[in-house]
Amino acid sequence: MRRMPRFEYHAPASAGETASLLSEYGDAARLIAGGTDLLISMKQRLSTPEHLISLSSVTGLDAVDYDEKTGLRMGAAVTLASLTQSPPIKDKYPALEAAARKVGSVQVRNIATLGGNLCLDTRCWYYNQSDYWRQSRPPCHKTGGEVCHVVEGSKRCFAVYSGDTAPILMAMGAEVKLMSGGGERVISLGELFTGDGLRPNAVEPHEFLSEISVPPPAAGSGVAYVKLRLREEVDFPIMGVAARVTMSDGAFGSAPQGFKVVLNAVGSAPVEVEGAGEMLAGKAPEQAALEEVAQVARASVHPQANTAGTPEYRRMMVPVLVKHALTEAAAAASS
Amino acid sequence: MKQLISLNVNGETHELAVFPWRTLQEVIREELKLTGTKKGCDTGDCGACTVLLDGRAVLSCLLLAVRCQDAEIVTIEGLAESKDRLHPLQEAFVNHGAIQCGFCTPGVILTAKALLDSNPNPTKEEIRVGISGNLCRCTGYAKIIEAIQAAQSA
Repeated sequence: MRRMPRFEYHAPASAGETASLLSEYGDAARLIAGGTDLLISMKQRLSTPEHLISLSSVTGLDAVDYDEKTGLRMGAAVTLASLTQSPPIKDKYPALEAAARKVGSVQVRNIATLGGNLCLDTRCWYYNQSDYWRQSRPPCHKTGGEVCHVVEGSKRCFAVYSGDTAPILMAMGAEVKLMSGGGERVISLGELFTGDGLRPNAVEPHEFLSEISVPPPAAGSGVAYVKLRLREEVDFPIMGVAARVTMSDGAFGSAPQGFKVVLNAVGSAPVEVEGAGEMLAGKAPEQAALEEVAQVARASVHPQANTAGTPEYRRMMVPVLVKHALTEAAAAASS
Repeated sequence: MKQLISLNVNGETHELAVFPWRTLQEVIREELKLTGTKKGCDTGDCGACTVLLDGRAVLSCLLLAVRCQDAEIVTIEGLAESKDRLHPLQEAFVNHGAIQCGFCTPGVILTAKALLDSNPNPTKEEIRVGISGNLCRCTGYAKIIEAIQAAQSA
């Protein structure tokens, strides 16, 4: 039996009200959208905020709009289930629909939101446990201590980022809007992630993520997200790869910026494979070209023993999944 | 401080004073005494606490009760049309031996109800994916899938 800790609940009706509650309570408050992740952390006493500010009554935060010129805009509180059922997403961004479908179970997707999945806290075997379980070891960096149970002697936290919608949205060049009492700022989705296991995203305590926008799909481009997990449903990724390619006359397009490969769940943030565009642009979409990127990707990550799958296995699977993702993206671009 | 909420459960509206940290599941079981909704893992993994919220299957252990005002909630107690007539899904579960210990059954049946409401003729694969958020520790999945298939043609 796991009881929730006590808190005061606020359900603002507008973005402005949300911002003023955040500036009033600051660090003492947490935002709750779907709550499918936060409520578990609270039951495990990983998070015990004095105030919970709910985003579920904020007007307009669950809207999805598509415009041919400006692209897709999604409110941060749109549920993953509505994403998978939204006509413009099914039609123009099928890979995003598929990635959203790979999160959790039917029940989770009916409540969990896109903003929540992007702002998912980093995870670790030694962190995501009950307070009772954690009592048997000294506290780790992420629980306010000074040790790491994963990498002995480490001064930093290696908790893993596992959100499945982030890599595909990064591959598509998404931007996110952060709102606060002082206004709003728009940053690229890649900039949202700090790479710090303790504080994985750049949302300040007085800010909230309000909108995610994606440019219109470029002609000849295709994207895909491949997820590796123990069971085919429900589980968090033990590794994932998102890829975007651009095809032209049966070969990869000549502009390097038409390509992006993003690795997931191998570090504290999604990792973009550097130079993927240069390695792929203008090549025939065959094994040799894919292999080069796959090996660079493998060399760029160092999975740790903090989630399912041994680090050796996950690292070996990096090139395999990179090639799968690129092949799938190329097929999507050609269809 | 307790908040006054009105919860619509199985077609009946209940005016309740609840603490904001109470989950929908705790309120259903402990305030409304509807114990058909089970508490399994309490962390969103097992699906035993599944209820319908506006027709969608959700995990009542991961929802705050204060958030569920104005929604129509259906628990396993609200599924049968009357006291002496089971819902076709319940009937099929009984007839196909899809119940062993019974602990996962309310959650599985409600998940199946939401599935059949949105997709009246799912394939076997769609059923398997559809109920993947519900764990049966007796591992009676084959019979469960048979029962759902029987209910869809009933």
